[in-house]
Amino acid sequence: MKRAAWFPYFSLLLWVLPLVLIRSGQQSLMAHDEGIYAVQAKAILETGNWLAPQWAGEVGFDRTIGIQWLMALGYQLLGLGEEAVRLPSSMAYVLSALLLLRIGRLTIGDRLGWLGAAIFAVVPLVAHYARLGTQDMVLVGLEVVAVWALLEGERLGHRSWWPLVTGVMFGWVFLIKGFMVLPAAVALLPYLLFAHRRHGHLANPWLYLGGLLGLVPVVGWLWASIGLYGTDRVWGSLFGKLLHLRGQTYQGAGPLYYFWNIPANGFPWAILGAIGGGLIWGKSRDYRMLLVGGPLLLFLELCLFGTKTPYYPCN
Amino acid sequence: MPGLALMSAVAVDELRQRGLRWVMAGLGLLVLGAAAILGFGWVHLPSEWASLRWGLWGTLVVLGVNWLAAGWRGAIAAPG
Repeated sequence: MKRAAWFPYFSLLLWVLPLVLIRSGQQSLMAHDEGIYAVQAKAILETGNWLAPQWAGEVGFDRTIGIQWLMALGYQLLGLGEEAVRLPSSMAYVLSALLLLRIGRLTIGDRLGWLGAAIFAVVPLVAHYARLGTQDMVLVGLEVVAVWALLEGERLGHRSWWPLVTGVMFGWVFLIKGFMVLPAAVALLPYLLFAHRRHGHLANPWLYLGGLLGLVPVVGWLWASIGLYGTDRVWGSLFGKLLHLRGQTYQGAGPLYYFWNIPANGFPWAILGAIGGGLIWGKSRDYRMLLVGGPLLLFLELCLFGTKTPYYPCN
Repeated sequence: MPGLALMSAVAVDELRQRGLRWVMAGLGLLVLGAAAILGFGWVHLPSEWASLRWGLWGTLVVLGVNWLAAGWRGAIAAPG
C-alpha cells in the first residue's frame, strides 16, 4: 500500500516538535543577544515605535529590526516572557525541517530527504539556536524557503512564478539579519549560474519581481527611519556595524576558527557532511552546485569575514 | 547547516551500505582525539559555550568509544 504523501511530514513533526517544545521552564534569557532582542521587542510595545531598535531609552540602528518585530508579535500573542521571545526561532526551526524534507525529496530522494531533515533537527548548533530568541534560526528558515522556492520553480519548468518567493525572501533576510543577506545570496550563485541551462532562474522575471517586492518593506523601513532620525544615524550605523564586524575578530578567532568550530558545534554531522559532500559531488551532477557548492562557498565567505562567531554557520 | 544535514544523510546511507567498519573505527579515533583536545582545555570555547564543555566532552567520549569499538568489532568479524 502506498503511504500517504503527508506521512513523511507528519512523522518528521513527531521527531521535531518534542525537540523544540520540551524545555526547562526555568531557562532565563541568555547573554547577550537574547536579552538585547527581548528588551528591544518590549520597547516596541511600550513606546509604539516600530521603526527604531531601542536600548535603555536610546535609539540605535546598529542592527535591523525584523526579529524584534516578530518578538513583539510574540509578546502580543503569548504575553511577556521567554516563550514569546523564542517563538519565532521555534517556528522557523520546525518550518525549516519540513521544507528541508521537501528540498531533500526533490534533490536526493524521499528516504534520504527525510533522513537529512531529521539530522538537521539534531545538529547541536541548530537544536541550540532553535531554542534561543535570536536572529539566526529565522534567518535559516527564510533561506530554506528561498531554496525550496527555486527547486519548486525548477520542477515546474522555466518561467514558473515560484522564484518570486525567493526574491521576496532576500528583503526579509535583510530585515532579520541585515547585510548577512549578501553571503547568503552569493552562496546561491553556484547553483544559479552553473545550473542555469536546466532551471533558467536567472532569466526568469519573477525572480527579479520578487526581489523588488522584497525591497518594499526594507526601503519603507529605511525611508521612514531616515526621515525621522537622519541618514547618518540609520545608514551610517548599519554600514558602520558591517565595517566594524568585518574588521574585528571575536575572542581572538583566527582564520582556522571554523575548521574546528563547525565540526565541534555540528558534531558528529559535520564530519559525515564532509564525506557526504564528496559523494554528492561525484554522483549528482544536477544538484552538486546547490548542495555542495553553495555551502562550501558560504564556508569560505565566513572564513574570510573578520568577525567569526559560533552562530554564523547556522545558515 | 541545512546543506550539511543533507550531505550527512547521503554519507550515513553510503556508510550503511558499505558496512561501517573502518570508517566507524576511524571516526571513533577522531572523536576521541577531539575529546582529548577539549578535555585538556587546548581549545578556547566562547563564553556562552563554556558551560557546555563537559557535556560536549562526555558526548565525544561516549560516541568515540562506541564507534571505535563497533568499528573494531566489525573489522575483526569481516577483515579486509
